[in-house]
Amino acid sequence: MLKNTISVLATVIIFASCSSHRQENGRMDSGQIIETSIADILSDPLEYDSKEVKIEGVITHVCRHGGDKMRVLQDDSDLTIQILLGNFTGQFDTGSEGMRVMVTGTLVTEVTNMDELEAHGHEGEGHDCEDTRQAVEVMKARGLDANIRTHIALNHYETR
Amino acid sequence: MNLNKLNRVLHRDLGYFFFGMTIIYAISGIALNHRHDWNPNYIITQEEFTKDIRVSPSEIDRDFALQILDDLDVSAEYRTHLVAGDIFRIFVRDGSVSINLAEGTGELEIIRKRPVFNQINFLHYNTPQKLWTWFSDLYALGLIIIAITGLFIIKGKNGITGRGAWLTTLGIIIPLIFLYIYL
Repeated sequence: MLKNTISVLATVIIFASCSSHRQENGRMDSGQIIETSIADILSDPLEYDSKEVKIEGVITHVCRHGGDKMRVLQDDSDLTIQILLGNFTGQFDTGSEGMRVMVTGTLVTEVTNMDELEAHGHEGEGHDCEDTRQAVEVMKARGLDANIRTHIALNHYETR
Repeated sequence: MNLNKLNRVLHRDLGYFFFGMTIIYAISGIALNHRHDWNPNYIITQEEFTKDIRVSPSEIDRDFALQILDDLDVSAEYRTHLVAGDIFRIFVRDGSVSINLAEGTGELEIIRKRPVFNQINFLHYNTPQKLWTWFSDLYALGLIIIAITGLFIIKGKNGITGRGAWLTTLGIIIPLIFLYIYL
């Protein structure tokens, strides 16, 4: 009797844990990856900073030297975004240009003109900014416009 | 087997075994060292032209793209095309044709893999990953063993206690000087 009770309990616990695991995975997938467009990212990059995004477009350029980055163009526009290939380096080459690709990756932003702070006599400022948003605010407070560079660090892709 | 003999055998056999790897990494290393002066992976030829195309982007289709390739005498196989703003781009096998519709100017780019270098750079960059990572790590370990055993091959005044000591010291000091200057 005791054996049967333990067996039933164990079975229930295993099923319950499997079931809740699947649901969590489902929620994580739908909650973490933001399906968006290159235009939306470029219009407000800070909104997507450090988040996992999914975009689709056409590969227009693959780096000829290291093959470690490429540019993806949004349909019916001239907007492109740089994709850093990381561990996927070598899986794209110039023969991939023109191919449709669905890219999932982490959006990375950086301010490229932080040195202007020093040029304006604010030496050392901005060096300890926690993120791009803070760097932009520091520059704004000094009356400077931040140049934000954006790229996606590739985590997953599908080509068509 | 005494220690001297083991040293020689290790140096000799690892040297033989990793000969191919050393040549691959050495040639690729020189090629990549100068990657700012040339493209070690591809041979790229670009040819500019003018072509007055009066067409709206909505009229551009596959047949139109094929016609343009024909007009430009491009025999490479058509793959796809796109229009981005004023830029009409036709992708062909091993290259592309870009035409600025507003200016009537264009560029034909043909890209070919640079023989030998493309393949050895593929390995040097560890593009294959997986098992290649392990084998190239093994090679690196082999190089360390070859270097250490090499120190003790010769005995006497030309060995590590004589001339060898000076040359080894010099070989260590030179990179340290570069670090001091550039770092």
